[in-house]
Amino acid sequence: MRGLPPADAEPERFEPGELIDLPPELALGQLPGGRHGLPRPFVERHQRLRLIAAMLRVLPRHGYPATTIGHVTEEAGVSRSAFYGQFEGKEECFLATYDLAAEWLCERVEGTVAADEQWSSRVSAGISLALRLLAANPALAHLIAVEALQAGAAARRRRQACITRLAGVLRAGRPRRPDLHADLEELLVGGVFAHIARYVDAGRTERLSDATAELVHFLLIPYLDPGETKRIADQAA
Amino acid sequence: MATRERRGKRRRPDLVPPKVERIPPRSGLSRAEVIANQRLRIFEGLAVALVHHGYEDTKITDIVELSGVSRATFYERFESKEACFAAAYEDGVERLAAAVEAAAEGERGWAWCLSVGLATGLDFLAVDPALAHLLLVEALAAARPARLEYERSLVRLAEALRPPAELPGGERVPEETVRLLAGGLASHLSGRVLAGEADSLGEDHDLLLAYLLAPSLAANARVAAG
Repeated sequence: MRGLPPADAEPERFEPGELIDLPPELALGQLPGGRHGLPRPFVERHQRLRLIAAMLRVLPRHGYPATTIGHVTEEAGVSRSAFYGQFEGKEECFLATYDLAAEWLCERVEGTVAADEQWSSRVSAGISLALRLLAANPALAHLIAVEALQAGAAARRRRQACITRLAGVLRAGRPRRPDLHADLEELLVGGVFAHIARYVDAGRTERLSDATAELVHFLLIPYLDPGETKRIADQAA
Repeated sequence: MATRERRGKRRRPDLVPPKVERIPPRSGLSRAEVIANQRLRIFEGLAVALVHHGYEDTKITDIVELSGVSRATFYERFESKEACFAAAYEDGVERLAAAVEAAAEGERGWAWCLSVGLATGLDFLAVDPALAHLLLVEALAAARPARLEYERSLVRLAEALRPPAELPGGERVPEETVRLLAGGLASHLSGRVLAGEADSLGEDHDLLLAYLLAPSLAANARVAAG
């Protein structure tokens, strides 16, 4: 399978603070105070990403409802007024965090999937990668699967949109069969999200890769011959 | 008991209060019947309040106003919003389960039971979108005990979805697969409720049935193929 990195490769980390091109010594720390001469848009983007990174880190500690703007600014080492320069409030900051995280995850899944020729191996590679990334980034798993349900209607819609996007990945190139409903993939991906939430809630996020075989089986069984499904699922484990 | 004077304006005067009727004074009903009626009114008031404010922002004041019970009565029945939500959730799940079981009872054949039960469940949710919202959306937004309760109902749903061992060939769909199926079903329904489409849930019957049957059909195909 070309798209799949070797299983022992270290999975990528989601670090919003590193998403901007900064000299490494500045990447995760505060910008030097005073007249550092860095251009204004750069400073603002840097603050925004630090606030997002901080939101991601504090959420698992308190849960969205109990998280305060104070928690986020303190974690980020950014002033309250700088926070309000970026976001209207907690919810907007949460949504920005969710958007960035969902984009990061979906892009990676789409990238892996694009590299495989066979639909069934694409599915298997995509779900394996997603589980490995989530297991290696527990805060990301927590955000995407659990917190988004507790952060208001807009956040729940974002989560739904993420399901729809990944359902599109699953749908692309699926076996042509007249009995397959057009919306089947949203159901399957929804089931996967619920399963991930169960792992996170049980404190087993790091073990998510254990679920690879059963999820591959679950995703392929409506489409493929059972023997074939089992073979691919066992291979993915 | 003297009715307490309500102070201030209702937060949302446009909201339609629940449809459970108040029992007029000296109705001759037993104490237990009066309490049951109050509980139902409170549950419906809670469901309507949740649709508009969401779990976190729903206040006891909203529930009390929409239910038409006094604050004192509310606190006689429930000690907190959390306790009220837990009771309303349990009541909703039990009524849904009872409706589905009653409809499926006596039907012959597992797949047919599933189809009838599904149709009944979808109708149950479609006629009461506020309750559908409480069961499928707010249960996940509520405090952690409520989420665990939600997980328990998913396990129960999964058990109901699991085909009996005596299907042709005796091949059993794995427990994990039916749990995944239940999660996907709940996630789909909650997406439709969120989109404000609860009242047309019945349209999804065929899609959902095909989805729920897929693993069993595959298991049977394996038997047929030898």
